[in-house]
Amino acid sequence: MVYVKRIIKALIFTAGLIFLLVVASQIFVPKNNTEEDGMDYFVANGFQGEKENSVDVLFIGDSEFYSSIVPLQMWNDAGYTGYNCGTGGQPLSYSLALLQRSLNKQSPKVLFLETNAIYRDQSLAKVAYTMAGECLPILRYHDRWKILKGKDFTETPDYNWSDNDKGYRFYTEVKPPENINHMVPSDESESICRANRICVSAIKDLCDKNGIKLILVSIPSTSNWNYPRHNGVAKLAEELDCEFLDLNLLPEECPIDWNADTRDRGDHLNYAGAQKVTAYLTSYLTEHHLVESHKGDPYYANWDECYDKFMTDTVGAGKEAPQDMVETVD
Amino acid sequence: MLSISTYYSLQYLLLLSAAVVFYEIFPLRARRWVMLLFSYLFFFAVSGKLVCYLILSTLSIHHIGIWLSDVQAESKAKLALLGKEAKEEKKALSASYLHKQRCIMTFAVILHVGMLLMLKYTPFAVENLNALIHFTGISYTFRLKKILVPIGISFYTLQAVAYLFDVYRQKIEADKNLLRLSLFMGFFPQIMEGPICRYSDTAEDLWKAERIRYDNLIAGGQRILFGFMKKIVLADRLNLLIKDVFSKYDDYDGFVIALCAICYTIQLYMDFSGTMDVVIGSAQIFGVKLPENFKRPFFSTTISEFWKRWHVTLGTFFKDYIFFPLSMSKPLKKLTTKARKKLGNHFGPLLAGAVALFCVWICNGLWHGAGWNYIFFGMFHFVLILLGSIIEPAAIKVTQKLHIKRTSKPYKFFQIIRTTILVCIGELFFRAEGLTAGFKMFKKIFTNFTFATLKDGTLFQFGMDKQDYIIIGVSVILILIISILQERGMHIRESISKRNIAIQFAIYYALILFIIIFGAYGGNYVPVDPIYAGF
Repeated sequence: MVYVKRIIKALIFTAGLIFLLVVASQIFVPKNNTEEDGMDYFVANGFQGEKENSVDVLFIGDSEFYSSIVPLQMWNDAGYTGYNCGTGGQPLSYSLALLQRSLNKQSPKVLFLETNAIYRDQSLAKVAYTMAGECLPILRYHDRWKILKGKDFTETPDYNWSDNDKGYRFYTEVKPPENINHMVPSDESESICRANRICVSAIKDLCDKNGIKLILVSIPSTSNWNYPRHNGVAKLAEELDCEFLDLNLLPEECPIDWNADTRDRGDHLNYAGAQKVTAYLTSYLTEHHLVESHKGDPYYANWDECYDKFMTDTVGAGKEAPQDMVETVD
Repeated sequence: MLSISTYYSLQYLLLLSAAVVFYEIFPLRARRWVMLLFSYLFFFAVSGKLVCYLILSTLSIHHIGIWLSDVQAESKAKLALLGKEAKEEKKALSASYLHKQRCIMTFAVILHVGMLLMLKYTPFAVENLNALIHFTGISYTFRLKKILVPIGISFYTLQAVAYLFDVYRQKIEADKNLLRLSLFMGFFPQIMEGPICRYSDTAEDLWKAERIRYDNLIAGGQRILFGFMKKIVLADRLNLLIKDVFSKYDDYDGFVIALCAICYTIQLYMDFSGTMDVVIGSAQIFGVKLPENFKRPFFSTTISEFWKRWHVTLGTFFKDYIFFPLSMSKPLKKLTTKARKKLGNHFGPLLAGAVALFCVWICNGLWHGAGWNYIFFGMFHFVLILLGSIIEPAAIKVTQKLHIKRTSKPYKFFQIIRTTILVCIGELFFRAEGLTAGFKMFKKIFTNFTFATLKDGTLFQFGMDKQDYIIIGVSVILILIISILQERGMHIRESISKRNIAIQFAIYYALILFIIIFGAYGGNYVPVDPIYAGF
């Protein structure tokens, strides 16, 4: 009898705790996806403010992506709608979280996943923490106690903010690397940690379940990429049965000039390099008929406005983006 | 692969939960093996293959303990055979066996402490040797490959040495049971940061391997929660300020440095005492009562008292195995006798005591780390404790003349503040990135002190805002209130468990939500590695 009583007590305690965490999560979750409302990586999360089912292509990855993919160029050239969800030092657990969030309001057709994060080791605990934070937002947004307002207790989330540049960050600085022969052929294959394998598999499963084509992409980078990494990801892509585009090995299709196209000695591309990468990925989508053009569709009318604004306020004005905060991996 | 670097991780909680489940479902005999398996699994997760050092150390003390015990038994047997009249023969025989035991102990100490010295202090020794060589103008540099040091070696080595000394002094019997000794040496909650246990403290509890009791489970869980609060809410939050100021002290004035010294002292206390709460709470779940390592040190009125309340098990180890043996040694006894004649009854014994105290504090400084700032830290406390003893008669006279009641509350309060300030100064040198940096920082407190930084926003440059300081203040006050209640003899956990279930639940929920909401984790917070695990 004593045991039964104790078990009931433990169950009541656990249920009460879960209830409190759920209630607290409702309070602590940002009520809009803006910086002021405490949204995490609000620029990358801008896709949540886009019109329903309007984003066909998602780019999820780290700073390699937000420096190298210009969604509005893709729109202007081919009428494809894409959003760049790159964040500094993005761990794959967060990539998975972003994909899950995107499915609340969008039905993307293609997901480009940057491969640099595959070699950013993280622990299973980090993955568990990120996923727990998606179920119970209090764990991710607990620090919002500093900015809680009355509306946090009364309103439900309504995400309506989007980044005009669709997640792309504009940089023009030119700093060539010292060594440009980073892709020396090798049979070696760099191993991938267990947590990251689990994350990529989960991303693939989620894509398959929602009819999204997953494409792994390696952005040209002399300091982050090499042949053993290429081999490791190629093997993984084969195992998962998904496409892998290593732009480091496509100098003709994506002709990066390392004397002009990088902003920090080969680590990231600048705008000139980003235009080349975007052009290649746009042609890839066209060649493989993966998405449709929405040019002229009134539902997407604001994309033209965004492009014009991007060309005048960002490119025309030379408005450089600030450096991103890097998420702690462990 | 399982990897654990801190108690404040999901991995540790999972391992602890798994240990609880497996421990509970197995019968008594198997439970001991389950505990040992989880202990080695934990150590493997912390230090990888270096778990072999722990196993070798255990095997070694097992063998040496039995060896000592055999010699002692042989000595007793032979002495018993001799008649009462053979006094000289008995004396010679005793001396011969004592010599043999001392040789064994010397060998054991060289083996264990030598291993610790080799692994932990070789880089420091080589660095200083190179500096000396370069100073003499020779352009040769000794190169050293990176030495991997198992986490917790400083803790389990002292446990091993204490065990052997206790066998040598015949305080305890040598344990012939390797499993029991392995459990004593490797018990997983305490292997990384102590407390430094004596064989008589824990071996029996571990061997009993009693079933997990509900009250122990609840009390242990409460204590673990309290430890998490200290570490995650306070220690990790303060890290933002501390890390920045200690690495870029040139950029800050004396006020910020003084504030940082106070904050570091708070951080160290919250980190280490919080860890002890997790460790002692984890052990309590299994019915093992570990010795307390902290007894509210910031209520100390003297530095000497502070060290009886802070890292208690290290202090008692040094007292029992260094201070007393040295004080009782023939040369120091002679010195006391001579000094007493010349300096009187107060100052005479102080001289020999000072020699023993000096050795204790050199060891204490070096135990904390291989660096001159640690040696200085030890010497700083040695001087303060010695000075305290020397000037005590004068201080009594002065307070009597000034009609200050030494037992009055205001005087006690003054003593507590004075001791706390001295402790903070010591911790400044302890944390400083080198001894030179420590002196520069200390100098700045007096030469560049201004309150201007309170107004110009400097304090909000470290990623900490007003709310962070408020939550630090609130948490410190909360812990202070709990400490005052404990100091007055109140058993808070017991009194909570006597309340009705709704109040109990409300308290637990409040504490859990407090940690979840105000904890410095996720986002841009970088948790500080357990500070004492590195010592």
